[in-house]
This record gives sequence, C-alpha cells and structure tokens, in this order.
Amino acid sequence: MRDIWIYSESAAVATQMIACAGKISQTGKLRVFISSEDGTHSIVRAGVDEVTVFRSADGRAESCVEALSALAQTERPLAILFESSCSGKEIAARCAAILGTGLVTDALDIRNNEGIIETDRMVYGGLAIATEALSSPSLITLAASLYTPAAALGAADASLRIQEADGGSAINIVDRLPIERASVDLTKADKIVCVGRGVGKKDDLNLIYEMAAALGAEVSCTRAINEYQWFPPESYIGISGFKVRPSLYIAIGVSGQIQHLSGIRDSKTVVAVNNSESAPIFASADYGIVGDLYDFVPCMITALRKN
Amino acid sequence: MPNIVVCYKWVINEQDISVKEDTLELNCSRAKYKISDYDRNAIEAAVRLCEKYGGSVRTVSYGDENVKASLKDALSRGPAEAYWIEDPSSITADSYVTANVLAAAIGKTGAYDMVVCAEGSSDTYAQQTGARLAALLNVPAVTYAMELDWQDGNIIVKRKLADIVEILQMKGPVVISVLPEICEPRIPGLKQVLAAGKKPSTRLNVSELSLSDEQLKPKNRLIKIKGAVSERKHVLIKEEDMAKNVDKLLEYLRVE
Ligand SMILES: Cc1cc2nc3c(=O)[nH]c(=O)nc-3n(C[C@H](O)[C@H](O)[C@H](O)COP(=O)(O)OP(=O)(O)OC[C@H]3O[C@@H](n4cnc5c(N)ncnc54)[C@H](O)[C@@H]3O)c2cc1C
Repeated sequence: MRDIWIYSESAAVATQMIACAGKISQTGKLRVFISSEDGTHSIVRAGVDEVTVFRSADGRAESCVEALSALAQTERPLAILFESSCSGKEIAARCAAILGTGLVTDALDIRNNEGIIETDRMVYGGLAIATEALSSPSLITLAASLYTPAAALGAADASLRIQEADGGSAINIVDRLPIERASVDLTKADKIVCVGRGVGKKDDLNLIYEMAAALGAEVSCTRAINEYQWFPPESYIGISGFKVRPSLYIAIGVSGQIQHLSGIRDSKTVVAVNNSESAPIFASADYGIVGDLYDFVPCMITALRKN
Repeated sequence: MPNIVVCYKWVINEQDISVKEDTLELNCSRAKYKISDYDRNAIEAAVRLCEKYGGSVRTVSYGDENVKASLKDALSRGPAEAYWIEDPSSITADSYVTANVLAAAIGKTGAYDMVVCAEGSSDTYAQQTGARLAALLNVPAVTYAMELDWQDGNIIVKRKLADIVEILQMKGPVVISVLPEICEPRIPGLKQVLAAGKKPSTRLNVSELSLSDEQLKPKNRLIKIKGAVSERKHVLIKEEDMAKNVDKLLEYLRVE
C-alpha cells in the first residue's frame, strides 16, 4: 500500500491533519514533514510512522520544495496533504508542477474511493461545490475547517529526522516584520457584526463598535474593507477568509457578493442592513432592513441600551 | 526598465450563474465573461510599474473560443501588446494544464524580468498558476505580494503571510503573484478603449507550443458540480421610521 504524507508548518496543525489523513489512509505509512522544530515531540506520539523536520538555511518554509518533491519523485506516495497556509499553498503548487501532477487547494472533504482520491471544494466564489477525482500522487491543501483536534493516540514514538533544506533560491530576504493578529477567534464567536464598504470611513467604526458592545458581538469585515487595513490583517469573512457560524450575524453596508456569503452560510440568523433594496445580501438574509446604516446603527444602540 | 508579462483569465461572471432549486445544477447560459477580478489588479500593478520606470507590459491569456473578446478590455488597461491561446483544451483544463500552456506560451513571447499573476481567479480560485509557472520556467516564485517596486534592476516585493510580512529583493526573471491590495484597477475610459483596438495582438496555437498530449490532459477530473444553497427567511423591513424598523427587528430576534 502506498503512503500518505503530510506537510505542515506547525505541530498543532500537523496533529489535526493527521486525524484528517486517517480518512484516506489504508494500510500505508503516515509520514509528517514539518518546517518548524517546535512541538515535534507531540507529533512523534500522534500515531505516525516518520517525522521529518525541514531546517532551511534562510528560514523560509518554501526552501523545502526541492527536497520534498525529490523525495516524492522517488517514493511516490498516494497523497500529500498540505496545510492551507499561504506558504503551504505555494509549496504545494510548486511541488505539483515539479511532479507533473494535479493539486486541489482548500479541499472541504477528502475521500479514498478504491485507491482514487476524491475531493470537494468550492468554486465560483462558493456558489457551487466541485467534486474531483485526482491523479496520483494526489496533492491537496486542506481547508482550515477540516482541522479538528486529533485524539492523542499514544502509539510508539515515530522516528524523527532533521533534513537540511536549501532552496538555493535567488531571493534575498531584506526584512521580516511580524504582524499583529486579531486576538478573537471569529470561528467561535456567537454574535458577529460585519462591516462592509457602506461604512465610509475608519472613524465611523467607533459607532459600529458601540453597537457591537451593546449586542455582545465581535466585529469583522468584508475583504474589500480588509484591503483598507482598518482591521488586523486577514480578519475578514468569506471564501478566502474565515468561515463563521455564529447564532447571529449582522451585515452593515455589505453588498453580499457570493465570495462573502460562502463564509457566513452556517450562521443561524443573518441580518442585513443596506440602503439599496437590490443588494444581493437581502436574498441571503433572514431579516433585511432597507435603509441607511448611519440611521440604523444609532437607533439600534439606543434600543439595545433601553432593553 | 522592467519587461513584464501579465497572465490573466477570461472567466464567466459568477454573478450571472443561477442554481436550479430542485437539482442544484448550475445554469450558466446567461453568464457574461469578464477579466477575472484580481487579474485586473495584477495588470494594473504591472502597468503602473512601467509607467513609473519605463519598460513594457504584455499580456498572455489561455481560453476557449471566447478569449479573443478579452483583448480589447485587457489592452485598454495599459499593456502594449497581447498574446492569446485559444484552444478547446482550456474548457477542461486544470491548473496543471493551464500552467503548462502558459509557461510554453510565455517562452514564445521573448525575454522578461517578471511574470505577474493574480493571487487566484474568481472562478476556481485555485491559487496555483503563479507558483506552478515559476517551477516550470525554473525561476524563483514570490506569492502573495502586496507591494511591488523596481530599484535599479532589483525587484523589491512586500509579501504578506499569515503572521509576518517579508521584504524580499531579487533580480529577474521571477514569477510574482499579487494580492488585490497591491493597487486598485483603473476603469478604462473611451480613449483607452479606442487606443486598445490599435495595439498589436498575436494568437499562439497550442500546436506551436511543443506540448505533449499528456501535458494537455487534466490531472484533476471533474466528477460533478452542484450549487450550494442555504435556506433563509427573507423578511424585509422597510418602514420610513428607522426606530420602528429596529423595534421590529429586535422583536423578530427575540423569538429566534
Ligand atoms: C477570488 C475572490 C475572492 C474573494 N474573497 C472574498 C472573501 O473571502 N470575503 C469577502 O468579503 N469578499 C471576497 N471577495 C470580494 C467580493 O467579491 C466583494 O467584492 C466584497 O465582498 C464586497 O465587499 P463589500 O460588501 O464591503 O463592498 P461593496 O460591494 O462595495 O458593498 C457596499 C454595500 O454597502 C451599501 N451601502 C453603501 N452606503 C450605505 C449606507 N449609507 N447604508 C447602508 N448601506 C450602504 C451599498 O449598497 C453596497 O451594497 C473576493 C473576490 C474574489 C474575486
């Protein structure tokens, strides 16, 4: 039987991906490749056969592409599952090109249908789900929603290897600047107020935060607003951002393009406020208020405080 | 002076697709085409760089019989020249086939410092083409670029990852895929549209690209495609008085 490989940047995600690999592995070996040495002790006990840490001279995760694809070339695993991070997707795509094989990014589900790997993923901004059969080796990046904490298996320790990975790349790293991440986990929020481009300027967010506080809600935004950098980076909702499932989601000045809607599909109740009655968000809302958000928000704050 | 190739995709507008309620089949018969949203930002980024530093931008696109209709739109956005590959293989092409065709076509268009792609297309959003092209062309890959500059023959990129921004510097040739925040695409005026009609465009045939049958055969086979729907109540509240609207809404929410 052929093996399943996993590539991840962190031990935490790797252990979750191991659980996912269980869905498609038969009797082959499970092998983990990781670009960080932190926490590898937890992976060697997670029921895998082999763990390889890539150590790159320039500190770039992408430097492992040559080493990983050369190994895959000789050992021909059945599938390689990659973490769906930015680097993970670049690494997966470059490996796929070198191996001359297919790649499915952001798979929502993976199955092993008699040795052929099948995946589901969103297309057309989330309007539809495409089911595909993959060639071998099957390269897949797993959508974050598939990561669920794995049960500790407590199996025998896997062997641990360190491999030097030298991209030999002509890219100079001039600087690395950490970015401040949002501290809230939107995927666990019970109530979310989402800001769209109907909110005209950054100062107006104060009003939104006031309403959110009265509601006990977190504040997030559309990708269009994310581009303005009013919020911590990548804290937006949608196909390329977070998929959320709150009990209450309120869209303020959000047009409701499909790419955004596919991130809120699992919300229990969707409320939309938009001054254009033809805005597509109303077709995907439980309750829609046609009107100016600058009238709605103050009224809402007053009403919530009264109650 | 930067010499840039931009790849773009001529896609059907997902907003024109409807989902049949009973079968969840997609109905694309009314769909119009567009240059994939973020590809417009990619074209803009390349054009702005050349407006600032000189150099030239040419575009390459691979598509079906409709792709020729994209040339005017693409060229009205500032590039000097367009290449297109029109072939039925594009209908079932996955990222593997697309990158094979584009890489071979780029080679036919001459030397370049940069190939610029967008982060992902608005139809499949596979986010693979840029990185695959780099591997096939055997040049460095830079993905998720949020800023792009050219300084005395050096390419400077600000690359945005989950928790870090990398400032990278390199010499071409290189493939760069850019995020939409790199710049706002222009809305071409009448003058640009008219000028576009006079710019040179060249059709490349797949048969000229020295690709094997294998390289034109997709690795991912589509089994089915189904619309995703969610049930909603669709209650519209639109009184003149906003305070009344809010009261109604809160009443509804109370019973949810
Ligand atoms: C490949 C790809 C991936 C994408 N991924 C995502 C994603 O993950 N998430 C995402 O959100 N988007 C995504 N997008 C972008 C998406 O297509 C839309 O462009 C975006 O969601 C629009 O954001 P918006 O609603 O804030 O802005 P707009 O579309 O500009 O909408 C603003 C709305 O505000 C309303 N409005 C204006 N003034 C007022 C007022 N005073 N009171 C009330 N309403 C008002 C307007 O009627 C309008 O409907 C993606 C696009 C592509 C191509």
